[in-house]
Amino acid sequence: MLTKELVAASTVPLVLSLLTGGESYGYELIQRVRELSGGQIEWTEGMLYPVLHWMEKEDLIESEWRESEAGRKRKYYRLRKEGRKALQEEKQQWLNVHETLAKLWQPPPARLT
Amino acid sequence: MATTTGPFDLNQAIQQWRESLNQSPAFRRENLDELESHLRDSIANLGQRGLAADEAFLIATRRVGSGTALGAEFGKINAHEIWLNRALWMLIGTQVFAFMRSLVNAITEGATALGIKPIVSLGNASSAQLYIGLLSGLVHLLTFAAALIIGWRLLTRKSNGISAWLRNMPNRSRHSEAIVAACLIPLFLTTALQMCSPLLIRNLANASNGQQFLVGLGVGTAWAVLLESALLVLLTLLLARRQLLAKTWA
Repeated sequence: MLTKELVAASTVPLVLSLLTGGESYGYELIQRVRELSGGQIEWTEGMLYPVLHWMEKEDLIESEWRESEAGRKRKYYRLRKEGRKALQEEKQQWLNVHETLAKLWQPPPARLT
Repeated sequence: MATTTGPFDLNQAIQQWRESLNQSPAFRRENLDELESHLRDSIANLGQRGLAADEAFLIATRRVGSGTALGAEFGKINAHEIWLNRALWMLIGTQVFAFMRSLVNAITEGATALGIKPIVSLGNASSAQLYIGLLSGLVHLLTFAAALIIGWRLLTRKSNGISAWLRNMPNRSRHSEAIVAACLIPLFLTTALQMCSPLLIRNLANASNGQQFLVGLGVGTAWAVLLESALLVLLTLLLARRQLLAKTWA
């Protein structure tokens, strides 16, 4: 399981990345992130919805109430241009961290003599 | 949880759950719509796994979390709403207080003027002073009623330049604090004026045209007080309308 701090830091890039695959809604986002992480990342509703609303206020995403296949009202979220740009920056930063850690954790290459 | 003897009614249970969350000012109507949609998805999913509706409801609500925990999280993004809600209750409080004070003034001074012995002696006030007191109490009440009626008409009238502008004002979220602050300025000014007036009276009593100045000051303060109560009534109505809309209707 992820620590609270890491959940807080990774929610925005995860939501942005999930939405690049098309629009989605809160329940589905929680399910998908659980599946993709093999149960390692468990988002709570109380955490996710306020983050979604904050992202909407920051113009990263936009939302729309529509009827679902089941005939119920559902709030769908969609990526905006600003969101795509923010994702590019996030991606670069996460990759930097990942590459650095990967280098550090790799066994030292055998020296050629 | 209420014990139901009949078959479990999912819609009723969800409605009760919504109402319990709605007690908190942290949720707007739209937040509750979204949480309800989530809860229904969760219940449907649990139902597919063979759970009965009441069991699915219990588990799904448990997963969404308690009202206090949810409220704390939503409160962070709806801090503005909570702040406005408090401002509204404070405004209602000041309105009720001001109204009661004017009412009591009008009644006691009217009674004294009619020769009914007051419970609290007013000293040796002349009848002219009593009539002025009664008049000011009545004028205050009339302003209050007029502001209430005009404000109500303005806010409920079909779109029109001024009313549409007024209605939209508190929705531009960053503006509403400024509006509340702007309406409170006359309140502070009149209070400051009233607090300073004994000082002014003492210093001006001996001046050549002190008497005239004092009358002018009194009339000015009276107008400022009336304007202030009218503004505050309008502000209260405006905020009340906004908060009610955010909570109940589409």
